[in-house]
Parts: sequence; C-alpha cells; structure tokens
Amino acid sequence: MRNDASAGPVLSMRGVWKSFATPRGPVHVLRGVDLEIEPGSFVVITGPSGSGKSTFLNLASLLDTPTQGVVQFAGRVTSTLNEKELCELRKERLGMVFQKFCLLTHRSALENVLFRFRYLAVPHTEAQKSSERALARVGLAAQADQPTRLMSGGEMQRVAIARAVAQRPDLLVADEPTGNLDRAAAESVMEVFRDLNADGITILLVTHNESLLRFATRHLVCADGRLKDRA
Amino acid sequence: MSEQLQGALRDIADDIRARPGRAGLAFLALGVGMTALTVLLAVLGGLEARAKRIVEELGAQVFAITQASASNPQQNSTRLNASRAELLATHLGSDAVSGIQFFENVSAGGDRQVRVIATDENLLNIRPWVISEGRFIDKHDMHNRERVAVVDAMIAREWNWRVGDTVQLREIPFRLIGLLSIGADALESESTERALSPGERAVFVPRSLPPYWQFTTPAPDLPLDALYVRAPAGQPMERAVALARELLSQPDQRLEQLSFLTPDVLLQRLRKLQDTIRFTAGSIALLCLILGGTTLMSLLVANVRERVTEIGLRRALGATARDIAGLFVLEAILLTGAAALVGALGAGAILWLARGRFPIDLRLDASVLFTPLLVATLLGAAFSFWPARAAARISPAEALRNE
Repeated sequence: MRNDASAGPVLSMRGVWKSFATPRGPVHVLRGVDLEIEPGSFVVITGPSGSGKSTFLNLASLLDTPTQGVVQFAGRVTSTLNEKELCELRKERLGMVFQKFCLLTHRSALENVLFRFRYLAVPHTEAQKSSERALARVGLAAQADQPTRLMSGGEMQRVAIARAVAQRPDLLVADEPTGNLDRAAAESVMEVFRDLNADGITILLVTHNESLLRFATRHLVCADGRLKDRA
Repeated sequence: MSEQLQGALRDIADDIRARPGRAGLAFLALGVGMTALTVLLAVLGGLEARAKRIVEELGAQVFAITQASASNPQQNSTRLNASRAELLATHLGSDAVSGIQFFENVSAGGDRQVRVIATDENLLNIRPWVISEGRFIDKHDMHNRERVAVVDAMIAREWNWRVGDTVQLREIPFRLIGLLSIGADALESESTERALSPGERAVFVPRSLPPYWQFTTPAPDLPLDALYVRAPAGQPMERAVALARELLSQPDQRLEQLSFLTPDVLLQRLRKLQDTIRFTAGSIALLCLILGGTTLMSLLVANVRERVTEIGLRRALGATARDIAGLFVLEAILLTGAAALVGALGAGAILWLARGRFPIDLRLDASVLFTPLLVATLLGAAFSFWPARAAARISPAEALRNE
C-alpha cells in the first residue's frame, strides 16, 4: 500500500539534528539539515570524511532516527512510525546499495537478487521474474547462476544494484557505490544508475569521487553537519 | 510450507554450509547428549515397565507372607498353617487369603520332575493367573479331597497332557482338570523368594489332600510355605499388612521370622537401580546436553559476530528485530532437533539391535524417541536466547557501518 506521495518530495528533512553522546559530551554530527528530494532526481552528495554524510544517509534510509527535527519519507513523518512500520517502508519503498556490496557470497547472483524479497509477501514466481528482470537490467542475465564470490567488483556491485531495484523503490540510496571499484567498473556502475534514474527512480548517492557529479541532476555538499546545494 | 519459512530454512542451510565445522561440532556434542538421554529414557522406561509387571504378576492389592525355615521342623505350632490362614480370612475376607505348600522334585512319570503346589480354591481370586482350559480347584475338590490337578499350560503342551487325562504324581493318579497360564517371569527373576513364583513345571493340587507323596499319614495341620493375601478393595494395602502383622504377632501365635512381601518391598531393589541409573546416566546426559548447549551458544555468538553485516543487510531489506532473533532461535532449534533425531534414532536402533544382550528390559516407544526432541527444542530455545537477543539489538546503521 503506497501513499500518494508522488505529488510531493520523496524525502524531506526539516531542522534535522543528529547528536551522539560521548564521555566528553554530545557530538552534533548533523546540525539543522533542511532538504527536499523531488521524485526522479539524481542527487549526489559529496563532502570530506566525518562531515556527516553517512549519518545523513542512515536517516534517509530510515535506519536511524534524528535527535531533533522532522524526517518525512513518502509523505510520512518517520518519527511517528513504530519499528514495524519503518521496516515496512524500508522493505517496500527503499533500495540500498553499499560500498562493499553486502552480498551473500555463497549464493548465486539470482539468489542474491531474490533475497530482496526475503521479507516481502511476494509469491516466489513473481519474485523470480522480477529478479531476472533486474539482473537483465544491469546486464547480468547471463551470469544469473554464477556464485557472486566468483564475480568481479563491478559485477558484484551491479548484482547489488539489481537487488536494490528488483522491487522498484521510491528512493535508491547508494553509499559510495564506486568506492571499491576501478575506474572502468565505476563507470559501468554509474551508467546503470543513470539508466535507472532515466527510468524514473529517484537516486541519492554519496561519493568522494567528484568525477561522478556529471551523472547528477543535483549536487549537495556536506560540511560541518550541514548540507548545501552546489550549482 | 510458507515462503517465509522456506526462506528461513534456506538461510539456515546457507549458514551451515558456510560454517560447517562449527555447526558439526555443536551437532556432535548435542547428538552425544541426545543419545545418552535416549539410552537413559529407554533403560528407565524398561525398569518402570518391569516394576509395573512385577506388581501385575503379584496381583493388584496383593501381598505375600512367608516364613524363614524353622530351626526345629517338628515345631509346627510356630509355623504358618491353615489355622493362621483362617485367622487372617476371618478379618480380611474369606476369599482374600490363600495358602500354599511346595513339594519339590516330585516325579511325574518317567524322568519328569515337577513342583507340586498344594493350595486352595482362593488362589486364583488373589494371584492374577488365568485358566486357559478347564477349571481350577474348587470348594468341592477341597472338601472331598479330590485327586485333581491343574498344570502350567506350558508343561501340558510340552508333555502333551490334556484336560481329562490322568497324570501320575509319585505314582499316585491325579485327574487333570485345568491348564493355567502363569507368566510370572519378572517376579521370578526379581525375587529370590520361591514362594512368589510357582516356577516352571508347576502342578497345583488341593492342599486338603493327604500328601501321599510325602507322608504316610495325614497331618492334622500341615505347615504352609506362604500365604497370599488380597487387601480389601478400597482399603490401603498398608492397613491390611499392618492388620495381618498384628494378628500374626499375637503372643499365642508364636510366629517368628515372618516376611511381608508387598510390592514396595519387591520393588526396593529395582527402585535403587532406577535411582542409580537416573543419577549416573542422567548426570552424563545432562553434562553432554550442557556441553552441547554451550557449544551451540558459542556457535551462535560467533555467528552473530560474523554476520553483523548480513544482519544489517537484512534490516535494510525490512527485517524486524524479531525476524533477526527468530532466525537465530530457529537455527538453534533445528540444529538441536536434528541432533536429537539422529541421536535418538541412532541410540534406538542400536538398543533395539542389542536388546537381547541387555540384562534389563528396554522401552523403545514413541515417548523415548520424542522426549529428546522436546528437550532439544527447549535446549535450542534456551541456549539461543542470549545470542538471538544480542543479534536483534544490533542497530542496523551500526551493522552496516561494520561493512
């Protein structure tokens, strides 16, 4: 059951703070972030290490909650949701791609993509078809039965992307998806992201690699716990 | 099977495939524990069944009174005899007391030897033996001192004796009037008291008969080897035993060295054996189970540590904390369940194959095989609780940072 959020932003944050308690007092990692991500955009966030990018992504992925402020995903204020509702949103409407792929290396590419449906009430045949389509979309239809441990980094990341989009997400969040790849593999992975965005999937991507900015429709810079638009 | 359960089973199989050594170790330790538990249950069950059979063979609410051999065989007044049986019958019921007297190695023609048991018509009211053909000694036989005999059906089959035949006991002809199914194996092997079991090759005759095979003239009051007493229905046996003890201990009775063989007395040795086995084998089984459980727990703790990223991925894909905990608990239960099944079936098969060589009976029924499964489920759930809880408490953001 999807909210009718297509009219508004996929993700919005208003006055979001995230602090962590330490023995020397609280550390404010995010300091009043205000942001709206429109459907269909390709947002790339850059910034130095420790600037709060990962913390921001955790909030955007509904893996964490803000200390202060409002995070709204698909029209729903996340702080009003219980754990089960957050899990429902994550499994139905979010896709995630990680720097080190997070694949189950004992399983084949297709089984890894099928894992996307592990906690979804989707019939197996339907999940199988969606997974095969997603693998074809990232150019790995022929390697569907290949164990992922035998794949190259670029292929593994494409399997991870196929897993993230096998159930079409409202927002695809990618944390340094090319961080472990060589230039050619990074390019091929970014091509996949661009194709997905062209297909209408909203993408939020964090990277250190400024050369990837050419794929973005919007560039945000994270510095000192704040996010600023860069033209 | 639901797709969620299939998914969980596939996850577990995948994890075991990824870490076969650890899973194998836990499986082995638990399997040994479950084997020990199965053996313990089979042996204890066998002993319990034996205890039940002993009570059944003696008869419900029945006890026996025996007396050690007299130092002076001529002192009949200090022996159990018919008048003492009548005394008890007066207080406990006329058909509730039966006396027996044994005559060993009585010739039954040719080189056949039998044990003659002189008794009365009440015996079958008390002991649970069954007439398989013909009838037992009755009041008429007793009163008329009929030369009739009832034999164990087994020797009748062996010697081809039939009801109506005339058999020779010490060359005295007796009319065979009935065949008796006795089946007192447990009682016979449990007690050294010969009075409790008629033994093989038993022939019953009325005890009112003058025992021509032993005495030349009838004695007025022959000594009895044992009295069987059935406590009145609804009355605790202890009360009947106490009453009999009191009656036979009166100064005018002058009865000495009496033994009151109640089921409790007979089962004393068995109970001691049960307690010993319960303690020793039970300790071993418990130790193995604790060892298996802790191995399982360490396996799960290590699994949780190694699978932090996977836990993060699962949470990112929508798994709740409960799903994560359930995964580890289910894995533990399946592992212990499989170990229990293999242990119980293996032990069951070995015990069944070697059942003839065991000195005691073994019980190998469904409860013996299913109890370890139940124990395994509880063990799996108990020992996986903490690791599963720790896994469920891992923050998804922290877990993915571990990537």
